[in-house]
Amino acid sequence: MKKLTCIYKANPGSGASYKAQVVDGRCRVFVVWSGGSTLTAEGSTAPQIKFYNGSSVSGTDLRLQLTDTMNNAGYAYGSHWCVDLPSDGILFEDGLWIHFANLTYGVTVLVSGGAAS
Amino acid sequence: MGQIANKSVTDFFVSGGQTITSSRTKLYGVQYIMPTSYDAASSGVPNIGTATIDTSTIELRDGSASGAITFKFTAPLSSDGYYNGINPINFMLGNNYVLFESGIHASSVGANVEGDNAVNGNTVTISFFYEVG
Repeated sequence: MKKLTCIYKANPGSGASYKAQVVDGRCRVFVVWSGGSTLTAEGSTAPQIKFYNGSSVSGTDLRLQLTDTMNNAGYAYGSHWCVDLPSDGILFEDGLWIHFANLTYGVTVLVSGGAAS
Repeated sequence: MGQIANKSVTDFFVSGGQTITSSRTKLYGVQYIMPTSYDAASSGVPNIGTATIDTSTIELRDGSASGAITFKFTAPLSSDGYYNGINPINFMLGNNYVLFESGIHASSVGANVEGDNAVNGNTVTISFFYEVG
């Protein structure tokens, strides 16, 4: 059994395409929760929440990508969902960055490790 | 792992929040619902309203309303009030846990996040799965 740390981050609404650092240093992600609203055009690509390994906003090492609900244009759809990842978690050696799918998102991750642990 | 306890509590819009446990607790998961209201008088669609992230976020604190935020998550929200309805959802941590050294206190979520003509707005229910000790 592992003691996990809960980290919550809302989309900062600025920076490079809604990216935000969530964990500094090596960590494993075990659970992801997303709550937010999306506004996509009908037939467009569904919103994606992407999790990058790295220590800077420019990182491109994509380790985890999750899909949110798409909807008809003109009607924001509020969603919430939770993903229990495989038992060993997903490893991010150099830190964790989240690329949010839209402005009004809050994401919770449960991790072990990180520089603060 | 010892004996897992379960407790379900309702209404986190009231001031002060609620105390779930009052001593060292391992939290193994929660199940959660924020029901929609139904605005039958006008548009006839489930209506939660112009919520923001901050006012629809549940904070579980260590020990008391002033304790450290140890677990936090955002409720569903919508920028313009139209909603497809909300089902319960859960956080289950498997054999892992989040530790609350002094117990679990569920803070108030602040303002009522429901929109116009809310009917059943003030009911958030969370079921906690935990072990004290």
